[in-house]
Amino acid sequence: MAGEADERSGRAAMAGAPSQGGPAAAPDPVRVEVIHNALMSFIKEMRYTIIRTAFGPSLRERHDFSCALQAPDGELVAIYQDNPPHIVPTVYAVRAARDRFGDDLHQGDVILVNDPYVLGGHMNDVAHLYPIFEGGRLIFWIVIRLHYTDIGGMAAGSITPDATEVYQEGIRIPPVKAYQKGVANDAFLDVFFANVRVPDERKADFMALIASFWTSEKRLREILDTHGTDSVLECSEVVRDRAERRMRDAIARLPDGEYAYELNLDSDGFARRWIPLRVRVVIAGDSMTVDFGDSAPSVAGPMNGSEATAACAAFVAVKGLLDPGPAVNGGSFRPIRVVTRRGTLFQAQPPTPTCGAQDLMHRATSVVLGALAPAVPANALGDHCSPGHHYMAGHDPETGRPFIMYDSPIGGTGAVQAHDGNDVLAGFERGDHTRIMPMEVHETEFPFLAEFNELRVDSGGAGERRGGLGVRRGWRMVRGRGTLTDMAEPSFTPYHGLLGAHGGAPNTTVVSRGESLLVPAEATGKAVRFPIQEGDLVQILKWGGGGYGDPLERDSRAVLEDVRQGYVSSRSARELYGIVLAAGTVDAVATRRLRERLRADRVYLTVVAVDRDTLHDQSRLWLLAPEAARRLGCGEGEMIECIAQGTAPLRGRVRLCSGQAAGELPSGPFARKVFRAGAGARVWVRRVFNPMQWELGSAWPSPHPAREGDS
Amino acid sequence: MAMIGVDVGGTFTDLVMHEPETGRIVAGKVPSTTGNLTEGFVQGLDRLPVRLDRVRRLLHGTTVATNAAIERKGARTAGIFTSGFRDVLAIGTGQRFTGGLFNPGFRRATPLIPRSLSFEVRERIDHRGREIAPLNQRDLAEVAARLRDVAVEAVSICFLHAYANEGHERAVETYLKDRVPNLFVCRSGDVLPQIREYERFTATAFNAYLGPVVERYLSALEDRLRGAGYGRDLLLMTSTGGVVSARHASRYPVSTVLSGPAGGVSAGLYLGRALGIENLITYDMGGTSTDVCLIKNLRPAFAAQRIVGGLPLRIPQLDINTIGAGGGSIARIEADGSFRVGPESSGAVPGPACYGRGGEQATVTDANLVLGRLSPANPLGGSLTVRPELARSAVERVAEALGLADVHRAAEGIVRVAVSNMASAIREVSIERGEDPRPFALVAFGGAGPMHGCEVAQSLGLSRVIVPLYPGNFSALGLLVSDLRHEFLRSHLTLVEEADLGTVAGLLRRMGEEGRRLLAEEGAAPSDTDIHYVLELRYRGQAHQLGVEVNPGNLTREALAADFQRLYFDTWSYRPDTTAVQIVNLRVTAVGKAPRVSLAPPTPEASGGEIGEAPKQVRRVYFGGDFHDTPIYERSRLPLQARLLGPAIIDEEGATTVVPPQWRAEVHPSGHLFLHRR
Repeated sequence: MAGEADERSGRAAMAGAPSQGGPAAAPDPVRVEVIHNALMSFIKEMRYTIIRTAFGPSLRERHDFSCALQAPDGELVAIYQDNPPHIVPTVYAVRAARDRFGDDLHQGDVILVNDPYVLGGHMNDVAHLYPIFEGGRLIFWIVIRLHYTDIGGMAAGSITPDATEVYQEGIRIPPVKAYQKGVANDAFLDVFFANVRVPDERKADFMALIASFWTSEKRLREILDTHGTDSVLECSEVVRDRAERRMRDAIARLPDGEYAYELNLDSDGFARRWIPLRVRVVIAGDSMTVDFGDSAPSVAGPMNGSEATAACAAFVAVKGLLDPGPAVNGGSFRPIRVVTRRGTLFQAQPPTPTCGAQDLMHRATSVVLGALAPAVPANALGDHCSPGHHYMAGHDPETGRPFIMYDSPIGGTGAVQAHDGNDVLAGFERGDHTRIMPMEVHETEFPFLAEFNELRVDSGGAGERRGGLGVRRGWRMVRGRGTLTDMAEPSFTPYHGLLGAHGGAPNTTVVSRGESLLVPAEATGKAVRFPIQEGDLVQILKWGGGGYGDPLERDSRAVLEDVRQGYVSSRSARELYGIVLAAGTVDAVATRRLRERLRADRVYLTVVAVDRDTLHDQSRLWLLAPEAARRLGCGEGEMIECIAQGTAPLRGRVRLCSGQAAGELPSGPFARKVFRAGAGARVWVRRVFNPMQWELGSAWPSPHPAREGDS
Repeated sequence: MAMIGVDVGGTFTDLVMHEPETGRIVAGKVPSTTGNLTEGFVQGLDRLPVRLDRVRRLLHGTTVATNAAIERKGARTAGIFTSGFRDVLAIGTGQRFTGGLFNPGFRRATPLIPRSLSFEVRERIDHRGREIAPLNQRDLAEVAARLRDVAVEAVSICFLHAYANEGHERAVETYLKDRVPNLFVCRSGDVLPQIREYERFTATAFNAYLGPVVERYLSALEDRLRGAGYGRDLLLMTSTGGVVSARHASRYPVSTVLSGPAGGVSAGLYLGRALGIENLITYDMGGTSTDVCLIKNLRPAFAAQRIVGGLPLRIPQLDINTIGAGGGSIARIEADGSFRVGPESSGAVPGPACYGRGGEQATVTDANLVLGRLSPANPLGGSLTVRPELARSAVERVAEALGLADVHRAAEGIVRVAVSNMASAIREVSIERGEDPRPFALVAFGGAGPMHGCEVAQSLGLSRVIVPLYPGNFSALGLLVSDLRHEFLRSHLTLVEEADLGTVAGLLRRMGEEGRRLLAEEGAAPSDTDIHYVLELRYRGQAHQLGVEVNPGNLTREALAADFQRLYFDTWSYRPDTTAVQIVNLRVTAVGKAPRVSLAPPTPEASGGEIGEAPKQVRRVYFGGDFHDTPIYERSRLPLQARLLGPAIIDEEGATTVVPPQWRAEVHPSGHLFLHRR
């Protein structure tokens, strides 16, 4: 695959100085625990203080912000249940501030950064940095990342799928001092607030943050006074060293070697196309390298990010898989090196648009989870990582006012080895601060009537453990007209399952108008200001989690119960799980026969090593003999997945190749890494099952976009 | 005529009897009978020197509902939902509520009603209460038939916007009552008539789920009590800190989820009133958990939401924060070297290592024993013998793992970490709610509260701790002094400028009348009855509202808007750029005042009034890294107004008060113990 080592930037992405090896004087574990308790309370209290004292809707109503205490070099010392995609990348903000200001940092400075090429998110998420000095020495940063409801740009809310340049996405803020030694930088603030919509609310949010910095500094100094600055700093190091130790021990328990995975974005905002994210994870001793260098070049639409996007994704995935649980700080990241390459999605260059970077971050998390699944089967889970920005905007003739209705339900979580996924629940990778809005409340404010709010039957990936179900919400527009914008990724490809399980249903928004069912994302992969009108039923369909393990191994009683509860249709029970139901119970004999037949019908191909993976326009092609394709029941261009023992499925499109031996699967070096197997290995090959296809029936758009430029 | 409070906890049943005529107070403690709670209740009563036919008020705090909710031992429950919305309970808000960040194996609590028992009928009301689609009778008939087939004990009726129009829900309730026998039926417009379908449905489902369990328990209990001669209403503590009749509690069991810990808050409030101290934090530390609550200006804090068994419960309830820190909390060292105390507990069985019942891990109680703070002869009122050598070897194992040569340092470490956890719990109900706790007095009670009160106070910067009389029975005492109380909350969304104030006043009056009726049924005299009317208002577009007290006889738009704007500014120091004020909820509280209880200080036993004669012994007790010769006092022998300096230990039935070196203690003329930082 492409990519030269010297083109890459590489460093331990979010780590501070590596810990000094060797035993130091053992710190008092009681003191460490007591001080750590105090620091955790400090971070939590900061959050509540901000919520209580803020006026603007971002803060007060949506709680869309996160707080952290960071070391002088930016390493995370303490976060609470804050949103990782918000707060993990702020390490890069601190570094950028230090690069920019050097020694010109003082008590009372407040530095703002939202540069997406630094922070790797949408520009609405502004990092606010507040250095703390003690005895002339910089000892901590207090950091708040706030999502401003609007940050300027071409559309209200600033997040729009059809942006072509960063300039359309809002005001870009390199590290800049909004306060210098406690004095406001009015020149900057005037320019800032002149470039955002509803500046009064934004200003109110901003002032609440400033006030909370003053309060937090006071509180932090109380902690320093009570326990002694040196003790607090010692504690902050000890807890990070412990996290590092835990992570190193966990990595060291994994066999050395290289793990790889690949998945695709479905659209760049302008067109449906496969945009591959690729990762290679190299485990060596007690450290690992997460290399995104082979991912796609940056795209014309806004699905671009920075190294911070990749680093955050790697951190979240590795932390969840190897050291699950709430003790979160940058020590965990010291053993992890993240590599990205200039010009790819993860090092987009100005002025490439980036407001879809959050979506990219979620999908990048999935690709790392997929790569490491074979290494940590007990903690691995079916895919579910997704963002979701959608809203309906328009004019309400009853109130005579314009409206914007955000309705952002989420989906199910992936199944794990021990149990099924959760239905409609924030996954382990997201904070717990935002909620799905009550439909009753929306009805009081917007020209829509709720028709249903239901679990999406069959949306959870079929497997020995089933993925959690997604949701289906129906809104009937009862007056006026408007538009619908929906950026959710993936919108066509199912979330992958693990170890032979099927994937979960992807996202889309469909509109029922009279007898017809419209799929606004059909052309571009995302709905962009799709016109809606009185009488339309807007159906928001959110994802199901990927399954875990072979569905034919699922306990027949569990399938029966799923059918009884209506989580799984009887068709799915039969076709995916091989369960024959009769008179409300399992027909054991017929089930055994059916399962045997389904097993026997499976297609296994033998890996044949070839020099290069077959790619077309970046995306993967599988060369199949027509005979093999016939056995799979699929034709040219259809999506199949190849599942090697113990791994996540590697997907690609069928390329019929008459010269190909029917029992063989030519596999390039990357594919063999994903398979963790070489020539001669047997790989299970099947069509990708997409639950959405059953759900939408004839309205289901062609499963593979036009193969433009295909030769 | 006597009054009796009975607080049935997991380990002990605490009782307090009071005779207003004589001022006599009798406190008692018996083991709870977990298999049959009624039994322990009656056994406890038998020990009190009074006949039940001479009792005029019998009050009860119970964890029956709490445990059924947390352990998921409620009834098999069905639900009837507006067509299209039977999955609202399963979908929820998408939030985990109980951690789960960075934990791929997180498992959400399952909904209280399984999907296979969730039925739908076609009907629709809009947010203004208008009927959009009529109640479909065929659907209803089908559902009723299904309910008979599936053999459920309870059903909750959950329709959209039922807070605005209860008609359809009521019709279903009536229909079912006539056709499906022996079914506990409740409906969302009655249990919690508030906008937000998930929260309303969840509260309703909880109510149905708990209904049969609580109903069975209370009716068995009332039968026993009637048999024993008690002829009046049994009164149940609710989550608001007021009491209601057992009959009412059986109908709204979801309101008794905090019945256990609410007694302590009620007692704290009573103490504050009696002493003229308006700002207090109640700190109730028992064997497995600690409950804390903030009382400001003699008003206990209320919480909008509480997580119960992994699900969010939004009903009127005290803001009581419960954490897993108690005498039985276990100390352990994690693989990465970090040191934790709790939330795991040795429980009642095997209990701390020193109980000698097979517990091997060091607990907070063991640590206190090693430190000499807990008298071997007074572990929990002397009914139990403890073995200090077992405590010591358990703590030695901790010391070894910590790399400490000195067992006492390890023991003090265990206490310090437990104290820091409890201090964090108090920070959550104070600092996180915008209240600086430092001016507050800490009221320390429960079996282990007085032992740690000063250290908890110190770590929060509080300078005053009160250990009340009867600290081991304080929650039961709180029952005695609790008012009858009914809370009504109803959503009524309208802009003040567009509101039909006549309708609003009518709704308020009707809620008030319902309150009066309930209080009368429960025996409150009209002269002891208070009705408070509150409108919860907000600026349009906001999510948070503030309550403005109103008089339904005198509602005007101008006064409402002006009162709200003033209150908003006082609360947030901010005046937003809008005047659109919206009514969100109507809230009515009906209070039937409790008869006065005056706690006369017990007459100190004759000891000549000299402190010097009071100590029963001097013991070496470990504080701050060193041993101190510490006098051990018997609380009942300390005369009123006695003052003493720490370090000191004060023993009494059911509790031990630790006065650390930097603290002094004074027996207040009221008999309560005041501890001050020197």
